[in-house]
Amino acid sequence: MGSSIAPHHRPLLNSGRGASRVIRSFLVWLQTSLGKGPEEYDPSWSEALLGSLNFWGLLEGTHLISLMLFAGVMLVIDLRLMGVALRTIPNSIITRRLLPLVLGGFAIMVITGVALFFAKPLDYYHNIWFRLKLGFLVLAGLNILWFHLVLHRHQDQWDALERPPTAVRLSGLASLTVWLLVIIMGRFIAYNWYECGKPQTAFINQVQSCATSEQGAVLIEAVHP
Amino acid sequence: MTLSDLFPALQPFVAHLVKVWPAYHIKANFAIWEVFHIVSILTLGGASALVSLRMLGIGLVERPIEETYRGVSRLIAIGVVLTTISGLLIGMANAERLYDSAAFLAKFIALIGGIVLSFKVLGPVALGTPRSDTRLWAGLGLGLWALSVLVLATGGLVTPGLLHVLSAGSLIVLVVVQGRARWLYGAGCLVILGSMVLATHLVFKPEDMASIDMANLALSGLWFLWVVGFAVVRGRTIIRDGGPDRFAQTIAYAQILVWVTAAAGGRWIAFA
Repeated sequence: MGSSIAPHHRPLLNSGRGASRVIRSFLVWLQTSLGKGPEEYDPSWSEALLGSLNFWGLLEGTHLISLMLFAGVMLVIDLRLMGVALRTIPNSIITRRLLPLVLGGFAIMVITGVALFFAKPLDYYHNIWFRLKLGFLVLAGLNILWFHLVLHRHQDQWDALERPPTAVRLSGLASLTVWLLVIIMGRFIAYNWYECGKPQTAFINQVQSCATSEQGAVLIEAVHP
Repeated sequence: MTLSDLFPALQPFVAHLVKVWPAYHIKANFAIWEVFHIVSILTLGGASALVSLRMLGIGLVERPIEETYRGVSRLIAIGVVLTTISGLLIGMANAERLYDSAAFLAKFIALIGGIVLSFKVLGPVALGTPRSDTRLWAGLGLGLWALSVLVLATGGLVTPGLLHVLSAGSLIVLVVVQGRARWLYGAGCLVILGSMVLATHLVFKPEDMASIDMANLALSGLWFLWVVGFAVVRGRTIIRDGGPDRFAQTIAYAQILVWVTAAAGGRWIAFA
């Protein structure tokens, strides 16, 4: 891949930070060495998965369709917290009955998501959308923590209210927004707008750790002074 | 089978579509519109799945089916409208590719079937107030869904997309079936899936595609019968316990799977 870069696009920044290099080395091993056979052209497990006739497609399709179960039901739970949908049903019933469906969908998404990452770990590692997706997943987790540690304690006071208190509605809105952003970032991963090796700002190069990537980091100012 | 096979005379019209407003604006921002389409399908799929699962004895079982339906019916309507509009718009921006895609034809037919089931059948069935024409609409919706499955099944490179529909149906039945039957059912599914892996990776050589296809077809058929068999047996218990009748249960399964078919078709457009 590196050899196809035009001369003026050659990496200008090549000093990655230590941690990034260690992670990258691990991902290189994961992608190119783990499970590789004795012959020169034997694929690693990661390469075999990516090159499989239909398995990778089935994994990606399952990841997307399980999103329908997870995010579709989560959306309804969030809208109930916001007092928009299923307003006559107490939140405790909604949570108790629908959370297992959400968790089931999430489990399938995580399993297929990890497998998809395993097929192209280096691409994902240097992808700004993937990193943002992970960031928003952490935010979603923090919102769940806030809900359970703070708001959930007084649930008996607002459980059956058609329009829950502002803090609860805000938590529902935050959850809805963050999961929407996770989905958007997930879809954008497929687009190579900010692929390492393309001329771009120092900030984008930094965020994606392009300096340690195979294509390197190319500053847009160096190409278009 | 693709739209270009069915309507070859439309080629010039399809080629021109991308030059028509608003297709060229959408093409320039395709990713955004694609996300909009996906979120619309998620809204629709999630909301209608809640009603359908409730009809199968899963989910908000403390409350009547009608209450669940009334609570999300507006979401279903919004989901259908947004899915259709966003689908048409991104379809215009990508018309030539879709015109030659069997996966798109499957998605398109499933989408129409899904709209028929969502707007004309699910409501009357969930509310327990079927009208004289409800079964007619149900027949049309189910027929369109069956046709979309047939297109996917005979679409050559997109045929594996059918496994999404089968695995989704399989998972629904896993949730619906209860007690020891669930373990038996799950074990049977695992055995069939394991046999698929063995047949396609160990028993037949990778270049022997005809044998691999045959094995996949036979085992998928067996899997389908296994899933339907358990759904039918569980369905009898649901009826005996005073739950929805066989017709309503069929609609419940179809209402989820028709959107899974539409989503699977949509995803496999990219693969073949």
